[in-house]
Amino acid sequence: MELRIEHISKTFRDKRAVDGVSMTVTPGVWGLLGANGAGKTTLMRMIAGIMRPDEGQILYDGLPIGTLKGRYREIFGYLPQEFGFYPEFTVKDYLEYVAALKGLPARDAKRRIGGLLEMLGLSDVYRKKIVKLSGGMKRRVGIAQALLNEPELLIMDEPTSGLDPGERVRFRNLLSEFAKDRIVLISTHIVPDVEYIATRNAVMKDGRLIAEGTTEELVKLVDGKVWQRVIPAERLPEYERRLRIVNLRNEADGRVSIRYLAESESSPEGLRMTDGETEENADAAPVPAAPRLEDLYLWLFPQDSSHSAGTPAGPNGFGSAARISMQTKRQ
Amino acid sequence: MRIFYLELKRILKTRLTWLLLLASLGMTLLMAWLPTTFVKADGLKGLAAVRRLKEIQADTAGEVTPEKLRTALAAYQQCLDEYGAETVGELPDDVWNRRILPLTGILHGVNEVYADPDTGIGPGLPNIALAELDDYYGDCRARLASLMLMEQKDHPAAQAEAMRLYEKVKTPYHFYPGFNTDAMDYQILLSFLLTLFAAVIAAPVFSSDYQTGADDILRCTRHGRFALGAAKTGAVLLVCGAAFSVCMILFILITDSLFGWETVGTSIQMLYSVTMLADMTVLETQWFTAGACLISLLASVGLSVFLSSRIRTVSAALAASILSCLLPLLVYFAAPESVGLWLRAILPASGAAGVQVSVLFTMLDYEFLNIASFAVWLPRAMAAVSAAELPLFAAAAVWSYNRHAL
Repeated sequence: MELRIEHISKTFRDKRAVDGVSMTVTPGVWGLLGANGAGKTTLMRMIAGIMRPDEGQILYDGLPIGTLKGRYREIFGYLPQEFGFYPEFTVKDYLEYVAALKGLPARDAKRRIGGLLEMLGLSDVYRKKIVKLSGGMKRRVGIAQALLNEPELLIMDEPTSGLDPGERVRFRNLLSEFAKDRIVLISTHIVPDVEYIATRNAVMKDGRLIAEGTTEELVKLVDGKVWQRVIPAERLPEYERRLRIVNLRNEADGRVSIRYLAESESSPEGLRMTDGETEENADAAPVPAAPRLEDLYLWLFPQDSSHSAGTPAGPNGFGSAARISMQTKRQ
Repeated sequence: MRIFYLELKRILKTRLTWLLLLASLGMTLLMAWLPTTFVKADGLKGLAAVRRLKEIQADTAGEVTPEKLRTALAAYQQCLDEYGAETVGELPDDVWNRRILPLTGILHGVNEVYADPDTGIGPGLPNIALAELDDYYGDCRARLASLMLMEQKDHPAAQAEAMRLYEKVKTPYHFYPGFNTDAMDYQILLSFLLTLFAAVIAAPVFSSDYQTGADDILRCTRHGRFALGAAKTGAVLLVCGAAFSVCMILFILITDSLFGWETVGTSIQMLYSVTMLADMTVLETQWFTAGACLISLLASVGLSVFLSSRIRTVSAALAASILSCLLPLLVYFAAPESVGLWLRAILPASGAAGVQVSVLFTMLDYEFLNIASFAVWLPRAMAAVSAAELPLFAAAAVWSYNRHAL
């Protein structure tokens, strides 16, 4: 089972949204990373067959998806970035409707819908109109419809947007379990979501595929470029102006621990100890930090760091990502 | 079939559809009743006037024979002579009600038959000699021939076709008092409004899914292309067609019950022009109009669904759909006659939503599509074209939806 993308390109007026992308997607969870406008959604829509590439072709198990037609769609599940639904439909109506379109016999559909509602915590809102659900619940209905036919190939564009941290963890676990012997391709701005579960990642920038590999392979690209140091809180604005800070945390005694991206450990010019400083209140020496996928993302897309704003607190306990986004934008 | 059923359920669950269906029902009841309120006779109004009119004109009911016409015309002229009046307007009201009103129904169209062949202006009833009515139906044919000479001067095939059609009209005509043309007009008005409602229901069928992004998901499912396109097209045609049929049946049943079922046995020529080419009674005309309007409405819905499959926003699809319904009227007012005639035949909504150019009013006219030495009566052409367009537009909509890609 493999999805082969061969030299795919798509141009909208004067913008080349996808530019000669080639990759072979094998079973497992794949993370598709990239800033806004990188071409992820366009690529996914071409894989879904709802957009025709200008050049290149997409093959599933060696056959062009255009010739497979219904047979391809039979094993396919798709959650687009914008989840469109019929406002007059309840969750039940909608899932039954999509199940019929997916060719599930009525009895199987009922059983499958029941299981997914249970799994996604939607049982209580089964008879509610989708339009009246919260953003997170709507997203879960979207996820449910994509999983209805237990697809071999599942494409999800920003599946976790709108989900709270608990829901995201449940979704990740669900997907990890689901992905056995299946291809799951997820695009997201919330890097930890794929970092935890993706077997491989692909990174797109300006319509091109610029990197591909396991999380471990990819983070090596920023090995030696992630630093951590403790500084006096009053000097933070100065550091913010000069460094690409990706995270910060308030420490005791009016000091701040910062995590930043830089080519080398040396402090930029002008960030040395000043005359009035003592050893106690001077900056601590930078120490290299273990790189994470998010660091790679921010290294590759410095202007897009705001999109990591939804990133929850990482395992190291670093704080407000919204703050990070603000700080990194000032670079 | 399951997809079709679910799609049907979806359309019927849409609030806009329900509101429009309820409005259609309300309008049907209102429009079936309204024509009775316009009837006035012997100082009475409404249904009482209908009943009074039937009593007053009861003696003239039945076959419209030359003998009956002669007797009626003689009574008419005698009344005027007795009162020294040149027109009925000079008669006292009670005299008019007592002696003229009983004759107006059966004498309908007599002056039209004896109109001047060159000018088309009819003589007053006092000026028609009783002996002229001996061959009344022969005179009707002669009148049609002179009329066709005026209307289709350069098209002998159309003249011949008109005469051929009229030959099939059963004579003597039948007349049963009480019914009037207002009820027929309201049937056309109802058809116009129902066609607009259908356009509003049909316009979002595909474009709404494009606009909301719902299509992205549906299109990626196994049956999300041809089967879904066919189900959506079929379901909206069924909903609109069924709603129209129910409303039209209700309208005819209520109207005819209010006016009286015996009245609709009247020959259509006794309601409109005596030289009308359709061989129908009022009831047959009502059913024919309903049927032709239904075909036209379905073809129009087919066009709306096709437009919906091509247009990516609901508002644009709605505007295009409503414009397609109003186009026959615009063509009638704006297009040159010969071009307009062809356009009216081709535009799917002409029959149902054309109002002045609807299938009923086209039946009252003498317009023909002239193709070389052939002539086709316009109402027939309209019905035939709509019947051909219905599957064509429906198939085009399914094909277009199936092929839709960005």
